[in-house]
Amino acid sequence: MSLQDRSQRAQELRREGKRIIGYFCCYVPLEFLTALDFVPYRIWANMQEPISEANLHFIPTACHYARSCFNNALKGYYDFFDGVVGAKTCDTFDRMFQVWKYVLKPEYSHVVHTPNANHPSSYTFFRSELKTFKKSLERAAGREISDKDLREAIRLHNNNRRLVRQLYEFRKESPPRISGSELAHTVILAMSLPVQESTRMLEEKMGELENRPRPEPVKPRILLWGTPVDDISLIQLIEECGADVVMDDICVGSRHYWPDVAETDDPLDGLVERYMDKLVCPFKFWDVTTTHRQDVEKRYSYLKQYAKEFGADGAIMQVVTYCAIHALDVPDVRDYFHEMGLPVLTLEHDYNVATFSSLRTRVQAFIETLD
Amino acid sequence: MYFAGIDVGSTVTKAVIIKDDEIISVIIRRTGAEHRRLTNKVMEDVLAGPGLVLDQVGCIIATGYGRINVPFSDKQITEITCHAKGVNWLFPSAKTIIDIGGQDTKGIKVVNGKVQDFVMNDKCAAGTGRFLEVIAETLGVRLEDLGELSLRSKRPELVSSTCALFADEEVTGLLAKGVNKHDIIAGIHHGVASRICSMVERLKIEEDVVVTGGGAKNIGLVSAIERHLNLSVLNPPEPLITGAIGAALLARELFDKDRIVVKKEERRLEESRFFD
Repeated sequence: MSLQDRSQRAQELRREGKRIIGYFCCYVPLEFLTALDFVPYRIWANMQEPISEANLHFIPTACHYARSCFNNALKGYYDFFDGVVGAKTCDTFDRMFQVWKYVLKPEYSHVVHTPNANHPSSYTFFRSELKTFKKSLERAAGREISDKDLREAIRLHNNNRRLVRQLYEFRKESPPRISGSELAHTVILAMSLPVQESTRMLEEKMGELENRPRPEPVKPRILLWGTPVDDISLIQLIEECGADVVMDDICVGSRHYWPDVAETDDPLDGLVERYMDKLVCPFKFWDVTTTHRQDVEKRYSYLKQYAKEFGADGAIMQVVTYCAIHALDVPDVRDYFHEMGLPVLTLEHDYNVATFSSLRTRVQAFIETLD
Repeated sequence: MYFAGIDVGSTVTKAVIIKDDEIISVIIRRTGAEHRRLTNKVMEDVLAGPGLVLDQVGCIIATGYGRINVPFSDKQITEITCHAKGVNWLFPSAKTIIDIGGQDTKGIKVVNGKVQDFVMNDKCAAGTGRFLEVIAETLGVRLEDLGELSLRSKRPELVSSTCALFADEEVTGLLAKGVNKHDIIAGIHHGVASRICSMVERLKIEEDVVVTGGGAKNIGLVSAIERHLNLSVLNPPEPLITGAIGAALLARELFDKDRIVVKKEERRLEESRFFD
């Protein structure tokens, strides 16, 4: 699905008077945007086009994913945005939003700072960050968010996330009724629509899947880990090499959709809890334990659950070039997968399909070892 | 019954025919830009040796970088799996393979002829045959003479660049300073070996270690690797064909276990349309 295709509906809505806010990453609390009737639209990178203009603004060792996102903006693909919102989870994206602000001068921009530790002060800080974000958005919208609006937005997003999780249930089957690339395609579309429309689209998909016959034959089952993948090409490559991608731990996928916001008396309580404690990303450290072993267990035990529930035969860990946050976690996570008895393939790539031919041999050889 | 393996490498294409656990025909030819579309010619020649026709071959497996461009093959399997198979057949005691090809270098960990783990470098020319080709050209010597020449070195010169182009510049500088070729080549081998070994060491090397690919034909490079790893490596009689042997053995295995249905009528012994 090209960038033009996925933005069609957002552009149409904008012509009808809606305001579109580009966001990155999962740590941006979309509930506030929805509560004010802004349309959140995930900022996508571009696996199909090489990075060109953006190279002028970034050093060569800046993450290719962030660079590719900004390249799209410079090429005018995001001209329909009324503003951009970021979460300060990694340095490159934080800088990207600064450069975006200086170079493209959006009407509205804001970065929500997200602590990577969970000390008591982190919670105080983050709660205050959420209040600042809320106020900033309220100024942009020219009206305030009532608790009722926020509760309603939380319900809408929880419902949307529940549907995506239900879609994932079909991946537990062997062979799965929904392929990894079809699921990724659906999730990309779901993140490009206002939440209400996204939910309707997902409901239709569910109905269609329930009546779909089981495919043949049974293939090795892969858990995909790593940096954002917002193009189905990489997943298709794995499928072409003879495997099913049955589960992911990436942010255009389970990381975004797994945890819900608890419906608390003060909606802010549930939001702080989700964005501080429940979302997973390697940028986050829960350093409450005393040993490295315990920290690893605390940070990655969910992978054990994923591998078991989705019947993974092997894990592919993919990291886009210069994503230090993910790359530095590779040794720990790889050992963790090995302890579970899962073979692991580690791939580094430039987020460009033109460079994928060298990945194909690695992926195919890895799948041959799983047979 | 005959079985064939064809390994279309980035630099050299290799074809092997086996019958009853015996190699009966081998062809080795440079791949080149035009040869890639002529894998059929290599196949014709490997068949012509023992006087065979295509239909007598029970199963054909293509491997290597150009494996998808072999229209007469019955299945494609990666060179990683094929090398493991071929080396295991030659040396059942082998646990680690270092394959030094023209375009990439691989480390493969083998258990019972099966790949347990592998590493691969193909982002740049460092640690590959291409690197040695560039240096040989600058030094005005033939690629195949590098090994012997380096053994004459008394004081290997340090060449620190890992990038092929920078190392080439460095070599030009050393020549200008009057350093003799033998010492430069020995230094280059040391550098390439160190690059290869640090990559393969990620696999936790276990003996026996077998070196294959074009790089295994360079005695200077092989002894530099032995010095780095502090062990002796095994060298196949013809290190270029282990992948093709493995492909032929896998062809026999797939055929015997009836896991593959060979559709001989779909085999096309004609130029592959790689460039169309």
